[in-house]
Amino acid sequence: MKTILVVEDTEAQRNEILESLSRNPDYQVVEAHDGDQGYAMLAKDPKRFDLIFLDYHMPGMNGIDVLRRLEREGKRVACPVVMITTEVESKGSEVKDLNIMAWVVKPFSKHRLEQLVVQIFDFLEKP
Amino acid sequence: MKNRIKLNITNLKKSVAQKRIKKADLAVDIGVTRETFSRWLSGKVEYIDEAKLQRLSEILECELSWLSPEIAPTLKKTSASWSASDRIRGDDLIRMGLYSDLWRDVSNLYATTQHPDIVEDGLVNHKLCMAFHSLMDLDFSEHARWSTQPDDQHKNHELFDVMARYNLISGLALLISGQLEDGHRLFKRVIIQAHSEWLISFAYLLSGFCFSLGSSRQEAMNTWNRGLLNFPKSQDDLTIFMQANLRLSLCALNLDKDPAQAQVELQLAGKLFDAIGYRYGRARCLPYEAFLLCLHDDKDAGLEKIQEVSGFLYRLPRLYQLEAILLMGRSHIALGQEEEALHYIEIAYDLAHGVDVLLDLVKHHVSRLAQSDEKIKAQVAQFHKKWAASSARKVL
Repeated sequence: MKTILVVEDTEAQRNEILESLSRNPDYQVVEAHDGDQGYAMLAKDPKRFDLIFLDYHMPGMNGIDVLRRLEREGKRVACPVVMITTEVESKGSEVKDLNIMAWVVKPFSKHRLEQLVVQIFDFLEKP
Repeated sequence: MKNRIKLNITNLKKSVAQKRIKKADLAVDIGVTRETFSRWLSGKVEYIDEAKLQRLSEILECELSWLSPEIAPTLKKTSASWSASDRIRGDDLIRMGLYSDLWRDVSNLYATTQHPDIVEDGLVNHKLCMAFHSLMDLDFSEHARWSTQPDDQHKNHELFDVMARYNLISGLALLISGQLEDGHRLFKRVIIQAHSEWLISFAYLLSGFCFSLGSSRQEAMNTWNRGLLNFPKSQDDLTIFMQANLRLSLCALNLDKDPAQAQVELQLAGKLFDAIGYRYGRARCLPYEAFLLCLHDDKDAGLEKIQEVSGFLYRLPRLYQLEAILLMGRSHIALGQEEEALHYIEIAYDLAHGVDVLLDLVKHHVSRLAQSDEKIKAQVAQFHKKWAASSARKVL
């Protein structure tokens, strides 16, 4: 069983991701409604998750802020992170070394999301 | 990297209100989601691409300087400047190659222009064009000029797609040199990293070939089917082209064991090629049609198709010639015409000469045919011998 955290403030988008991922019985999907809640979950147990979907634009802490704060506090996430964004942003060196494996630009299809997760887990098992 | 410019949110709101255009329509017109547009209006996102700002100023009929404090009112673009909005998109370079089939010329045009800013991410897309040229022409003599080391140095996510392109080129080089597992590993990375739909679809296609050439039929089939699942409603012609190739590959894989499914895949591939007006679409499908007819003992119709293919065979890129010739050989076998089959098998050997992975493909392909007929078995053994001798000479 793989545990996936979805941190996304837009309810419709979050539900869409949850619905796609929950179709696979091997995935346990946990949701966080904003950066603060996502941070709290990750800070409490950084090793709990196998994969994180993290929205870039969120009120309060954005996705990168969440990862940076955890890193500063010595709780750097060990699992891969998929950043979700509305457009290709220019954040350059800010995203170095944060375990970000992919960026998904909205809108994306459910199929692409499902296949991406399959590919990431496959890649981690057989790099 | 895209040029990002700060927005004047107050002025943007005023102009949107004055024009009385629906925000959703405006978002569509400038090519962003409604959500992105709302983030600009709310000030959540303060920066915008130069190209999108330009489009906004055209729609809202206002000066660029009105929409951004970073642009001076007197700023005029001179002919010497080359902004991000003027650039040719990297994918358009690929499109030009695809529709003209002049991959080398497109590639040379870029190389000789020697202007770093005319094509977006020019270098990697230039290398992609060269790789396409080599592949279509089965000419890997310039392989060293386009093959590249896997590149994961860029952690800037704007460059994830560029990184994926480099990895795809490297994977293709590995696939051609017969290093199937290493190639497959890189294609998996591309599938994860890339933003472009066509690039992801192409990586699935090549990944499936790694399995197919490694004799993992079921894995190849699963990979190609997964590749088709990703973007079923894509309107992008490059993606549709890759989907057509995924369908055709599934057709090829099903020819022996499930001809009915092969027929379905062939029809779908034909429709996809037609949808984008691909010049070789019909020519690619015809040899498969011929084989399926011959398989169903429809000798006259099958031979008619083979005749049709023969008429244009040598006007096709060499990659497609090889595909057609292998199928024509198999068609003759299905009709019990060994002499004709051997003729095509020999041509296939010649076309594949010098490229080990292609020779393996031909060898693998004809080995299955040889099982049924002693004469062909003996002749194919001779071809293998000839191939082994020429390979040995090459090594010496």
